[in-house]
Formats: sequence, structure tokens, C-alpha cells
Amino acid sequence: MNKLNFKFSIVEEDVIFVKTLVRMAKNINIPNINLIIDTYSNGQEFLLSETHKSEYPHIIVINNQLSMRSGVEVTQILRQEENADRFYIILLSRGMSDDEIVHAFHNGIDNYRLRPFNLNVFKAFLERTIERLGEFK
Amino acid sequence: MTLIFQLFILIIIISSLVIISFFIYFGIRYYQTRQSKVQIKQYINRTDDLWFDYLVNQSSFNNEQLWNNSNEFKAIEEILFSYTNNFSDECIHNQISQFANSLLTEKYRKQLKSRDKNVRINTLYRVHLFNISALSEDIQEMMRKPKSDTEHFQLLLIYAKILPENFYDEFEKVQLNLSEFQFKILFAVIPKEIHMKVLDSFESLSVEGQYAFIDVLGKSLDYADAEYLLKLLDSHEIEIRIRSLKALSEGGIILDEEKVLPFIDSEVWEERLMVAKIFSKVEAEELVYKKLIEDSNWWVRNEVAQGLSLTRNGRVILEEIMRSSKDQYAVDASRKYLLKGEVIS
Repeated sequence: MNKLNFKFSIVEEDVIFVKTLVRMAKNINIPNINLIIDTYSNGQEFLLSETHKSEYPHIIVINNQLSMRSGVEVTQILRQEENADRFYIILLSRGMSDDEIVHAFHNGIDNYRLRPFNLNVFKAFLERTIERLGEFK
Repeated sequence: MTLIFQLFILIIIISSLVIISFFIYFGIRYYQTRQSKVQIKQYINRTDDLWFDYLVNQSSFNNEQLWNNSNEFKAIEEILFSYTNNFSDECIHNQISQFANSLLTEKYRKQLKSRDKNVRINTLYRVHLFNISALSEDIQEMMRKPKSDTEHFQLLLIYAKILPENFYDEFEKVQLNLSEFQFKILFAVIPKEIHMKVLDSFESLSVEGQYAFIDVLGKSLDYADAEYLLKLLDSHEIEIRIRSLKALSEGGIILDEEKVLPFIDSEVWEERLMVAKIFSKVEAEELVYKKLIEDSNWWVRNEVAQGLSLTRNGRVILEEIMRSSKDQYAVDASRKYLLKGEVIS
């Protein structure tokens, strides 16, 4: 049986944090799902890579405070693409006001995580999200 | 003429030497910084899996994780900072604390005795962040004679974490020198038992301390705190009453509406505004909203109209006000939010 390819991109400047998330993501083992993990240090690099042009379902974990293109800016661009439903965007932040979070949701993010967050819970959440998104493909 | 020429040549030579020395100095500094970054990067790439296993999977410590030079030590600190600041898992924080208590103590102990103020403050910050209780005696020694206000404050933060039983005595001694901002930081991190102690002795806090304590209560209100805030509404001080009402509005716990309702008729518009904020979250009788929306102050009318526009029941009340109120300002506020508000419940 063919495995479903699933993209998982991390857009973040903190190298150690990225390595930790990559290692966590490598431990995700869901039958029939092939997780393709990529990392980018800022929003501009992510957009230039054109990885988002892929037709695979795509989970993007993105920091809102990046030196080039914030998480919300990237989200706005992604949501204008055709077939933008394939993106599941998780915005990370060290602190945003309620109004800013509402604004981010209105612009198309699917989930929000305030740092610091629980890594174990985050992994379980990702596993369930991938399973659910995989069911519709 | 010859003498002037010789002097001129000498000045040129000295200037050239100074410029060359500067170039050499900055060249060496640049090389050292670059080397330092390379070594830090190499260490992180070499050991990141080991650190993940140690901190997340709770594996035993591997000697390959130990540092061989000061740059690798900096790399370890960067790793610990990243994990501490990004993840809340108790097991990760326990592992970091265990590692720091057994292997970083000696180095930090020396740094705490440094003559350089910045080195001492940065080390205190690490002691707090990595929860290094093995340095508690050194911390107590420093607390006997803090060398600056910043150092004193940092020591208090450490006390709240690793010496909570001694925190309050030290806090009482220094509280008159603390700013409202510093109080807020302290009150946000103190454990529950100290929180109760501060609450019991609220009257003995400085004014800044009282304001900060009320503000922090609103951020994570529980029933005991909500009850205490209701008592503070009897205060003779306007600022205490306003902040207490604000904290109640943020926490959204109102145990006795009767204590809050009289503030609808307060002469202080900020108190009426806070009541409007409270009843934007907690449902009240229609009459309360009608009175608030006919308030003489724009902020109060605006607040209550906005709050009502977010719920279906609230919008029914706004429509009723638009139809029946004789107060044109109330009608305008109702219309404005009925047109642009979005129902969320």
C-alpha cells in the first residue's frame, strides 16, 4: 500500500528549538503516512523555497516574530493560493494580545501555541492532526 | 626645516603604527568571534541528539556532552536556554536543574564572586532559570550584602524559587525600594503559600506593591482572590477600588453582584467603566445595561455597547434600547455596534 506523503515545515530562527522539533517529528510514526520534514530560518526563505507549491497536505509550524516576513504575513500569502486548504498552519509566539490572536485566526492560522509549551502534548496534537488530515485524502 | 620634516615623518610613522595596531586588534577580535561561533555551532551539531535524549527521553548523561573549552560551555548554556524558554515540560526542567546542580555549580560559584557586576547579574539570572538550589548558601551570603538594587531584586527572584521559606522576610525588608513593575514580576512567580502570606499582609505593602498585587490577581483569579477583591471595594482609596474592579473584570469571577452594582452610580467614571467591563463578561439584568448605556461618559457607553453586541441576547437588548431609549447617545452607541459587531456566543 502506498504511503501518503505529508509535508511538515518548521519556520523558526532558534536553531536548537528547530533541531528539537525535527527530532520530535522524526519520532512521529503513523502507518501509511510519510512525513517530509523541512526547516527554514525565516518566512522569506520559506516562501522562496517554493516548498508550499507542493500538492501534499502540509503542516507549517511558524514563529510569528521572524526577522523577514512574520508568521501572519506568510499565512496571508499562503491562504491566497489555490487549494489553500492543504495547509494547516500553527503559529508560535512568546506573547500576543487577544486581539492579535483573533487577527491571526482571521488571517488564516489554524492553531496558536504560546511559548513555552509542552513538547509531549504538542507531539500528541501533531499526531492526531496528521491522522485526521490524512483521513480526508 | 629639517627638524620640522623629521617631526612630520615621526608623526606619520606613529599614526601608521596606531592604525596598523587597530587593524590587527580588530582582526584578531573578528577571528576570535568567528572561531567562537564555529565552535558553538560544531558543539550543537555534534551533541543535539544526546541533549534531546537526556532532556526529553530522560536518558543518562553522556560524557560526550561535557565541554572542552569556554565556547562549548557557552553552547551548553544556549541549549539549556532554548529548552527552558521554549518548553514547559516538567521533566525537561527537572533534568536541566539536575544537570546544572551537579555540573555548573562550581563555575557559577566563581562567577558569583566576580568583581564584574554584569558577570554576577548574568550568573544570578542563570541560577534562577536553571533552578540551582546547590548554590543556596552562596545566594544567602550575597543577600546579606547585595551590591546593587538590580542584584538585590534578582536575589529575591531566586529566593522565591529555591528558598521560598525565607522569601517573605527578605521581601519585607526591601519592598519599599521596589517599583510597581518589579512587584508585578515577583508576584507573578511566587508560589501559592507566599501568595497567601502577601494577601494576609496586604495592608503593610507599599502603595506600588498593593497596586501590583491587585493587577496580578486579575491575571489568574481564583475564588479566594475574587472574595478578597470584593472586600477591597470598600477601600477609601479610589485607585484601589478601580484596580480591584478591573481585576474582577479580567478574572470574570463575581461572587456577589450586590457589591459591584452600586458602582454604576459612582462619581468616578473609571469605576463605572470597570463595571461596564465586568457586565460585558458576566450577565446582568437588562436594567443594568440600560443604565450603563445611558451613562454620561463616552467610554462607558462604548464599552457596554461593544460587550452587548457580541452576544445574541446582548444584541436583543441593544435593539430594544435603539427602539425605546430617549437618550440619543445611547441610541447612537447601540446602532454603531449593532452594525459592526460580530456575535461570538
